[in-house]
Amino acid sequence: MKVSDLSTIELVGRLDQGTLLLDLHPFVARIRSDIPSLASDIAAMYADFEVPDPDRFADFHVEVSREHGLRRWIKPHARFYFDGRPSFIPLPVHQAFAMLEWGLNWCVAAHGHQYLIIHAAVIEKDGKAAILPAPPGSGKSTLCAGLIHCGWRLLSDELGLYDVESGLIFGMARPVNLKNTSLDVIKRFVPAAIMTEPVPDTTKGTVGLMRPPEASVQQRREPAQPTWIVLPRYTRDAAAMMQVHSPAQTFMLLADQSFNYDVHGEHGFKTVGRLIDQCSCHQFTYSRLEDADRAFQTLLAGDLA
Amino acid sequence: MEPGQDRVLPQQQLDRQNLLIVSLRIWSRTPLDQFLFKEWAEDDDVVAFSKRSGDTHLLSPLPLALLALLGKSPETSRSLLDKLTAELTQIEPDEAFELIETTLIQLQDIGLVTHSSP
Repeated sequence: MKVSDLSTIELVGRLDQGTLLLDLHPFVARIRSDIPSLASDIAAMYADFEVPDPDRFADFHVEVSREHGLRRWIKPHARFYFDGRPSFIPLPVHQAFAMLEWGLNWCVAAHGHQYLIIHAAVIEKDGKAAILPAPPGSGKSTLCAGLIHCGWRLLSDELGLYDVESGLIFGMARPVNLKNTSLDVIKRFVPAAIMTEPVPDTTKGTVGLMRPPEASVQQRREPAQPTWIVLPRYTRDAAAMMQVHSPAQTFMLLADQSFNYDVHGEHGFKTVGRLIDQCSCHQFTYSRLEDADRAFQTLLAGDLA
Repeated sequence: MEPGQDRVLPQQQLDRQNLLIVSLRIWSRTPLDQFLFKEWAEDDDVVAFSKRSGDTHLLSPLPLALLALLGKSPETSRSLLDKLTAELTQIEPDEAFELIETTLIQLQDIGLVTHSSP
């Protein structure tokens, strides 16, 4: 059964009872909420995801619910709960879905230590994965959102899960998080993209989420072979340029952008070293997604742009 | 002292003494078994992991050259400068000396080198 198979009443009812499970392979999340708009956003963004049986084991038990007391009625706020415990500061209730997404990201980053968890977009084509690690503001989510509509499969726009045993990388193919000007950029580039209503005034500015391509969701259990590490750098009006980058400097960035590099200690050092050895390292400067499409096609063909 | 005569202020004397002491420090490399290193043929930089602190560091060519020289024998900053003259031709000698001193202090903070006083 998929989320799209549930009626609105069923979906709202499962959320209210805490019996909605989402298969976010390799994890399962149980979600509770008393916020109807959250049900609508889940229905839109997770339409193609399987809904496991309510009795199944869940890795994460999360809740996004309205605050109690005056805050339930006056400038209503919502809060994220993990295992029944309030986590993070409450936010305006219209940010509920964004809060759920950020909360789920935290759950994975804080607990999924069987993987090296990289703050990166990951896309795949012909079995080969491009890892796009980058600090916020570098344009990786915009680049990812564009390329997954140019024939690349979405593994993740946020969390690359590197399996230290197999050397393969996984993703959950969850909704793509876009913000500010990237919302308009993607709307122009992919007019048919299904997106949530923009949510203003978040800590990240105006944010919106884009439904992942159905094919990416269907293939999300398939890992990919890391082949390229590409450091994206959006620069206004810049010509597209794919340049070879220092493996050592790429190592340092990757370690810095990994949520649990320090948790793994010495093993983390060897793991990142192994990942760098598997890949060619590049820095990609761009300003137009059309140029990015061509550049990544060239990368796939085995030549540098 | 009479008015008009050159005066060396006590702080200037102290600075010169400190500079002399610093320049006479004998630097040596610590055993490398507390570190893991990773290098690539196409890269002049190396990454190093300290097993003691858990920190990871990027080592560029100058610190690597200093480590290589100190791996052969303990040296002062001045003798290291003399041995690296060919690599530091683009920098004024005073700046090069200061750069070497600064780099050695950074390597000391990481735990890769230590010093003793003469």
